[in-house]
Amino acid sequence: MSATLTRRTLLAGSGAAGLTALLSACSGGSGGEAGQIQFWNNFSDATQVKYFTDHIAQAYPGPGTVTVSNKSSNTIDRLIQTALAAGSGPDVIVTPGPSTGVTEYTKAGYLLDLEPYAKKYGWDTVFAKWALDASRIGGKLMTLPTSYESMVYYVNPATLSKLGLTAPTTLEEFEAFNAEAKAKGVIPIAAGNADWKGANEWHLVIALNHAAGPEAVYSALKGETKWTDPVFVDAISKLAGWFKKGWYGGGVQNYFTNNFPTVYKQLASGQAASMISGTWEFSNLGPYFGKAAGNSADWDWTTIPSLGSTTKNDVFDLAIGQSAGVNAHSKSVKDAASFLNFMTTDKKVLVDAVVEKDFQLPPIQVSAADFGSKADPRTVRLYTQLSAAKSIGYTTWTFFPQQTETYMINYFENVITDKLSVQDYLAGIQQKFDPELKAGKVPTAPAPTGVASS
Amino acid sequence: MTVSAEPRPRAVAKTRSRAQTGRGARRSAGPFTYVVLTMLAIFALGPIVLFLFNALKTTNEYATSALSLPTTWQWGNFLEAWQTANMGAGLANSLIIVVGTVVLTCFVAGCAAYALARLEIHGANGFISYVLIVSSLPGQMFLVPLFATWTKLGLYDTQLGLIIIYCGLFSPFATLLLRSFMIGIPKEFEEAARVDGANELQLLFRIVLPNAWPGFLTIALTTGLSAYNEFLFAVTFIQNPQRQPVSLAFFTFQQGFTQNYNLISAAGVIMILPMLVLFLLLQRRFIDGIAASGLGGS
Repeated sequence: MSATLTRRTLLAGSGAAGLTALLSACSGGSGGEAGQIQFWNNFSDATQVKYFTDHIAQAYPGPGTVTVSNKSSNTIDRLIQTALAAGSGPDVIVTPGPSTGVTEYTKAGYLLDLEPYAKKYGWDTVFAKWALDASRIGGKLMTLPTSYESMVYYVNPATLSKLGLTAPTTLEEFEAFNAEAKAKGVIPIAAGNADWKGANEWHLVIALNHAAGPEAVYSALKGETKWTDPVFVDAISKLAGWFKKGWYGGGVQNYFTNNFPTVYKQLASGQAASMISGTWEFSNLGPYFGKAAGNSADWDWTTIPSLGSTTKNDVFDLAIGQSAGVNAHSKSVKDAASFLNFMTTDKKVLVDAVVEKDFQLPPIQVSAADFGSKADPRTVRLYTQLSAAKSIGYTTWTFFPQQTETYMINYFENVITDKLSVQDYLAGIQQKFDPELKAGKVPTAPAPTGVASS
Repeated sequence: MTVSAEPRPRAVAKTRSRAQTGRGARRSAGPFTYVVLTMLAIFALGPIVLFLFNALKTTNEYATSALSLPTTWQWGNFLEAWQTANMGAGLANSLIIVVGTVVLTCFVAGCAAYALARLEIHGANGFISYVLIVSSLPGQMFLVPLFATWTKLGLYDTQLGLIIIYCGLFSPFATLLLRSFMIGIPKEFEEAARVDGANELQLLFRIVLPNAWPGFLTIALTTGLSAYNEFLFAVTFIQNPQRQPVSLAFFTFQQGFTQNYNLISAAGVIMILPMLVLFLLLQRRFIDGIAASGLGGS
């Protein structure tokens, strides 16, 4: 009997010791405490995570202290949605632009109305008007733009020189450039969507704004022109035709299987004559060019050529790459708003981040003098031209409502694989767009001309 | 008390296994068998070899071709991946989570399986059906309520919280597997022990558990592997980088809309090594356990 009791005691003691060891091994604690600002973000790479943590989060003077957590681009939205639905989540909430998730978050009461803070910090005088207008839902400022970007035409100058070509500026030049490059065995435009299906919309933005023209897009976004209008039929037909000619990525099938390292490598090695993508690529191209890649290749950018009869070649497609708001359930609302103000308006901190680690600026006014001598001239040229742009285009991820954008991305592949006609594709866009326009889900867009972009 | 703890059913299983092996040994394998087995081996090993090759390439080499051999062997990728993703800490965290999950799951599943296999429980069949049904539900269904509950309980962003979730996820299969194992143990052993004066706890610890040891080893291995590889709940419930398991290390290699595939491959090779070694060491027991339980192919 005593043996049984001893064993029980031993078992109980062992169990308690094991549990204690387990609990002590599992360090506890959860975020969201007052004075602590949780910030989740999908940084471009590990060096940006370290730079942001060391030079922005830790440099933030307070009130509150910032904890940074890096997430992948593929999971961050789902993680934030799960946390918000459970009444928790980071104090500063990021979204991929003002049209994705912000309306839904606002309806669910997850986001704080930032209008009082806009007055307190004078954001109307700091940010470009178009960016703040696009960030308002029902007249209330729900997010701030943390980065802005545009679409540009990338070239490898050595490749162009070797091929005897110059970057095109008109539709005729664009088609001649691509035809000649292909005839010489070079892929005209390096492209692929194996890593990111959303790459489809980058090319759609080009067709809409540079073939159909920003005036037509602006009119359609206001509901005055239908997406089935012949001007859009012509633009999307042109784009689909270029894809089918094998100008993008070396053919439609290759476009589906090319991942971004392959795309960058094609531009760097001269296998491709150009690349059409966003300015976010500035931070991605480094490992494939020059010293880092063990070659002498270099890259440069220019504006997207005019691809229509009436469009110009100085149109900058405006995009808010990322928006950030404050979690309405945060225990540190004021601190979070203060940090949001710091990370989007402190010009020196922001410009240093651009110069050092190719971060993207929010749409605030900057001049070449702000950058200093260490800055990459291509970056300085981008931001000075972009902030002074008078003709603007509309990116789908900033000015189009979410369901319309998703449809455009998913069904474009059916167009270039001949499973869906251009007319039916555009009719589908119209079908998605109408109820979203009626529900007030289309972000406010600025007029296409006459305003500087910041 | 003269209760015997001899693992006789294991001996029976061994005899059966030997008999099966004997039957197989009499039949000589033809060329077709070798061709099929070679193809299966290539099918199984091909991705791992490709993974290893990509881990040894430069970024440019990978971008040129993901299927070619490396021209220069970049062993430094392993060091860079290890340092960049802080994989040492990740592996330590994974060890805590895996050991915690295995211990808790073995305890919970062991108790449940013993009760279902040996005790006269009212509604046992209904409970087994319930376990089968709930174990087939997708985890995403209860992600949000679980998140809210864990936040309120202070278990969010803790390894203990993740261990409890894993125990909940993996216990149903472990229970069913272990129950099948325990049913195979002849009741005569327990009856003999009862005649010798053993109580229920003594029966459990001195008769059933020693005989069910291969079953426990099997569920420990399957649960450990599952906990080590699990991603969805780990990424949702652990935010602090200092507490993250190694399965989340891959985020570190993001590059814009793509990834640094060389470092991901290197990190992947590092990640699979501990489990590969463990499996190779215990594979015979693992396969015996699965075969004896009759629940193979889960």
